[in-house]
Amino acid sequence: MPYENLTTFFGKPVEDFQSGMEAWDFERAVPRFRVEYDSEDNVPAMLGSYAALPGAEATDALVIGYWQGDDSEGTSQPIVEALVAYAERFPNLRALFLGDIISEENEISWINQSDLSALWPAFPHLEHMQVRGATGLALGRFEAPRLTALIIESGGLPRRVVQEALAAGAPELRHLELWLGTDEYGGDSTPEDFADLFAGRLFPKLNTLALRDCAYADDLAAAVATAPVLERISTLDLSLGNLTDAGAEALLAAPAVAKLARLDLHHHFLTEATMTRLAGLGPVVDLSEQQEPDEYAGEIYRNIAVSE
Amino acid sequence: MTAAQRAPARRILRPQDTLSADEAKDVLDRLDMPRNEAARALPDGLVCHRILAPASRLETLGHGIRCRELVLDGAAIARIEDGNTITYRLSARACHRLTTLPAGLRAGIVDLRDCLALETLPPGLSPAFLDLEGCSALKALPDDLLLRGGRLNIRDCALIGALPQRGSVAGLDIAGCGRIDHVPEGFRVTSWIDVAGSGLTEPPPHLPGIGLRWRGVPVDARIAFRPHELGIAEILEERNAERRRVMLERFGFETFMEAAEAEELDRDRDPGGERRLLRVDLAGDEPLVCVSVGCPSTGRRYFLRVPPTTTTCHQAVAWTAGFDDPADYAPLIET
Repeated sequence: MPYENLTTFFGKPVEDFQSGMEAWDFERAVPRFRVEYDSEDNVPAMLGSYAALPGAEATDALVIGYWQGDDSEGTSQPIVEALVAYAERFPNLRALFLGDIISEENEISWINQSDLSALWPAFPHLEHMQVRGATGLALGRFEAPRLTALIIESGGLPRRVVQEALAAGAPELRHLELWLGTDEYGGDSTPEDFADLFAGRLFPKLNTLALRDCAYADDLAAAVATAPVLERISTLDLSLGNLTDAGAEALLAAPAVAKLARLDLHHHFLTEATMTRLAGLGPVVDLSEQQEPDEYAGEIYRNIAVSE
Repeated sequence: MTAAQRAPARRILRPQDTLSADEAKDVLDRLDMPRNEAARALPDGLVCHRILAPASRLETLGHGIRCRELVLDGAAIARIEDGNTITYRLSARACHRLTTLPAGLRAGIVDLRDCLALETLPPGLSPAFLDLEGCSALKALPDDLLLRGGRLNIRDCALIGALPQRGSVAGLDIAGCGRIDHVPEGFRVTSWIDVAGSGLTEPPPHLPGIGLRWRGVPVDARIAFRPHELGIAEILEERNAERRRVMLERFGFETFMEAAEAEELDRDRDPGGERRLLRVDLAGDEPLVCVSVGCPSTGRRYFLRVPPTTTTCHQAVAWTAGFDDPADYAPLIET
């Protein structure tokens, strides 16, 4: 779970938009809309105030932070609806972060997302789409002609959402990042769900493939190690998961892995000997945050970085 | 940030208060009317960003009111007259007396779910999101309705016979709209259609690959439109319990039980004929237990799903009649 709110997004500093503000420096800062736990404000109303400002059409990036206030059931649906209803005021929107929410505000699996289908046609210029939390999340079937980065952070990504992401009409996609999580929090994907992606049939411009926070990291590593898609990406990111030497052996044995520019495995359960071999493999390898398994009542547990 | 800040003007109307005409002179940020019983209308010309009057006794809005957001859920409101301006969101769920909305309503979000008296909508509507679920008296959508990219929900509006000829939505819910048998070519749906119980018999030809849902559960075209093509093995192997329930419902419990070689838990007779209690185990879900009964009047056979703990036909039928304890269920006559 990320512990810090964004300070920059899409190349600009992020600053909170406050209710009652009557001006905004659109060139300088990206506005974040969020409420306090006990606030009477709500994010859709704040978006309305912002959208009403002269010049708001210059907005190229928006950050949505904590929206639930004192309503723990509150989903992102009213925010999605507000964004779409005000879409004519944001004709140049290129980047959206829906859920800049840290664990102090709400655990990732408690963030109630919603059906985002309507965002895609409303914002056809989106290049960067980032979502935190997968509870209740649906992407829908969508075309995103300019999308270059799709990032979904979760403690458990439903297979259905994985399928929606992989079915995206996103010919420009370069960075695909999915936090797969654990089945205890709804993450029920399997390596087979990525068959088309691994075979290289999706996203012709893909450059970074990040399948992070995976509770079946060894199986995933074995499946991706021999995948044709590795021939045309430069960065493979399997970080935050529960990778052990078994998965690492598959990576070490694969010629395509050795040709990558970057391999991110941080937060792992590898032994020193395997780490040494990986470090000499070829790519720049991130092997930080070595983990020790937990033992409880005779059972060994290798926990992923982000679940609840 | 070099932004000017001002204290937003907020007004709370206590239960016995009304808002005077004088108070409508200044722009308000927000008007709250918790448990207000006195106000029947708002002062003419009021300008207020957010008017929050759920469950209020407002009967009409007033005249020349301008707001971004108007929330009237559960209010006594009967009419919102022409000339009132709501630019962002109108939410009037379960306003059971509401019959009249203003022409040219510009709100991007219009939520009129369960407005049972609503028979017509005004001309000039062009929201992104329009929710009319459960507006069972609504006879038709306006000819000039232009949806702008969000969602149209007319679930269980059984009288509506046609969708708009133009416009675009990401999601379309026509579940329970038995009279809607096609999606006009000029009406674009980008993401999904909920087709449960609608008149559609195939995915709209002009929307290839559109996502399908069955009362909220994502399904494919075979489950939605050709359930007889489903195989027993694929139903049993389906990992998603919600989806499997829809598959079972669409395939038919009876056919499924026969084909899946269900275990017979009990068998007896009642005035409708033979009754059977059958069980099939489902991986990752509670077992499917169904009772097969005959109707003594019509002779038709019914197949009803009952709790998995059921062990006798009598217990199963008692449960379907609303009795948890079968000892309480002793029908004198069955019709």
